[in-house]
Amino acid sequence: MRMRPYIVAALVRKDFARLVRNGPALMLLGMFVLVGILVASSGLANDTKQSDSAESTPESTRGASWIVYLKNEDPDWIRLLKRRTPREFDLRFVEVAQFDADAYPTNVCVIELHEPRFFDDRQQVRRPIHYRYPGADPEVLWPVSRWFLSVSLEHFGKMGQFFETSQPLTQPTQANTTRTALENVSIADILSVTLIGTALLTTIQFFSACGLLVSLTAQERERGALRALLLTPANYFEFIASKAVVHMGLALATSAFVVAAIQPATLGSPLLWGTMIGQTCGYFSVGLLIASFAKNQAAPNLLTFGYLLAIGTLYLLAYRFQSFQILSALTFERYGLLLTITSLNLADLSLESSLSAMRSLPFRMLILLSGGLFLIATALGSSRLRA
Amino acid sequence: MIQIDQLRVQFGKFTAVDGLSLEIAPGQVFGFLGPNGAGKTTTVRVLTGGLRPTSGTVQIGGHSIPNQIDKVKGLCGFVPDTEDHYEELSGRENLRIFASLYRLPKKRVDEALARLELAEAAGLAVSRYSKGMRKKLLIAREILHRPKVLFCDEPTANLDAHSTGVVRHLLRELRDEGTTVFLTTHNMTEVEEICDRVAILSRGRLVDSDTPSAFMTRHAERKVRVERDVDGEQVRTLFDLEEPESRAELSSLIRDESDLRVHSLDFRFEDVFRKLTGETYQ
Repeated sequence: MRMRPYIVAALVRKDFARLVRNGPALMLLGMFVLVGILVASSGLANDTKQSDSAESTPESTRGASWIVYLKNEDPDWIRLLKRRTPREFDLRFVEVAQFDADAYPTNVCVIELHEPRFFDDRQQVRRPIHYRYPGADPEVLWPVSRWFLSVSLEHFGKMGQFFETSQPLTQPTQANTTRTALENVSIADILSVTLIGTALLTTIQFFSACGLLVSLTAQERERGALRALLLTPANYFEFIASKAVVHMGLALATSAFVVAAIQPATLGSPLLWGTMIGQTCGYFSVGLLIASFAKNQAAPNLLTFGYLLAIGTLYLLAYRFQSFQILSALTFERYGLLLTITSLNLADLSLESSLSAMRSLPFRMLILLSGGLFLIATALGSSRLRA
Repeated sequence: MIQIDQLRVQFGKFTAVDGLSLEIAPGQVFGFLGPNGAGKTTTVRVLTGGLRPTSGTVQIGGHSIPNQIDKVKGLCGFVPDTEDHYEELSGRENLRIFASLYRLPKKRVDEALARLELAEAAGLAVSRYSKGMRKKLLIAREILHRPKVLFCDEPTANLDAHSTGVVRHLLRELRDEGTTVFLTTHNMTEVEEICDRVAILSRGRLVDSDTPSAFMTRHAERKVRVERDVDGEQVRTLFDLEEPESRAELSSLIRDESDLRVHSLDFRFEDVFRKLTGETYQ
């Protein structure tokens, strides 16, 4: 397999020139960035509102935070949390025999660490984390919850094991621990800037690295231009390399704009970039597979749409059935989404913690699955795209 | 330059090319003819490395196909019968992509465009080109790297008379420069005009291979048509001069009749093609 930089560069210039003339695609990507900017500016407005309320009722937003845990809780975890407590946090660790919401002052943020429990609806063991916050705005939890999640990630080395719920302190406590996930969730609670950011990044990566790749490659194949290129000194692997540079580069560059708009503090996070590269590589491989199996332009668009539907259905079924959980555990998106939202959430994650998180199981799975898919797509495509 | 030995290509039970053997010397325009489905395109696909033969060997410039295809790529150009340009890019941009893949200087692009009379339209997007211009752009693209072998599939299809002349002149020039032109065409006038040698293929098998003039000499049919008035009605009779009986009959007719009109019939390459393949060309 020869890889000549001048040929890859020529093919990249060709793809870039085609991309520049693809008005609708550029407009769509620009729109995603615009949405990111608008969301970020709305987020800033919320922050301003939060600051105002902090000035009027400082104790409600800047009062002490409590971490409340049972006597038999993992002592290493508690020790690490204590050791990693930032100086600026007024944090208290409270050991209790059982949880009693009425015992909390009304101006504190509380993180209750419940015992791991078997959830019927998901068929798996998770550790319930219950947040309680003063006032009506759950945003006051962010500083302490972000810190808590980052240190917990450092301790456990993996994510996705928590079942998080939140509730204002002023309301009567009627937490029903057997409630299903959907009952606990309201759109207002979950629709955070980071969640929207994750959705935007995933959409951008899917569109640039998969949808656009499939469309442009199928066009080349249908017209016969691909065959003409492969009759020149360029080989198939140089062709793939140029596509990877252009489409993954476009996905990452556009993602960087969105991250810069919604969560600029995470721009230097190796965990975020590693996740974005892994997920983009996965989508690129899916696109390559689709492009190599479809010989005209109509088929790949249908296949791309079908892939989206299939993944969505798989995750829906995985909520209920064990066998589908195993299948969903073999998709790179599962880890990509989790890591993206986590790394966007952990804005103040240190470089050390970020690198440590890259040794976690979800990150390893993301790289393993995306890399494996890339090898399969390249090997399969090498014979099929030439036909 | 091109050696094909016992080439056989099968698609399942269907044999597209059956034991084809050819040897094509460098610096000639070689016409590769045959009715539709004769196996011409399949042969060209094998020669350009797009298809693996079932059996037999193919060599271009001493390199085996498809095993040494990377060594052959730079030696060959291929003008397909369908357009495969990047429509959104200009003619010049299209050529520049290919020029940079061969590491050629930019002036080669302008030279090729000028040679095919496309210099004025070079900045236009290909989507605005006429069919003829697109075809000429294909040829310009494939002569950029001055290939030793140029495969042309219907290079003058959709071209007007002037452009056809330009392309035929170019092919002759390329031959004079030492390029072997492997021409697939259904235009028999073109064959007579520019081909140095011709091979005729039918149902996957080689029917015959020779120069066009030798084909004409070997297969020409000399016929005359005689017109005369019989009882006020015009009667036309065809005489084959290759047949002794027919010649004798014509001789007596000329001797006995005073009012005769005799027309000699031209025998064209198209007739040779028909005679050899048993089919009309399409």
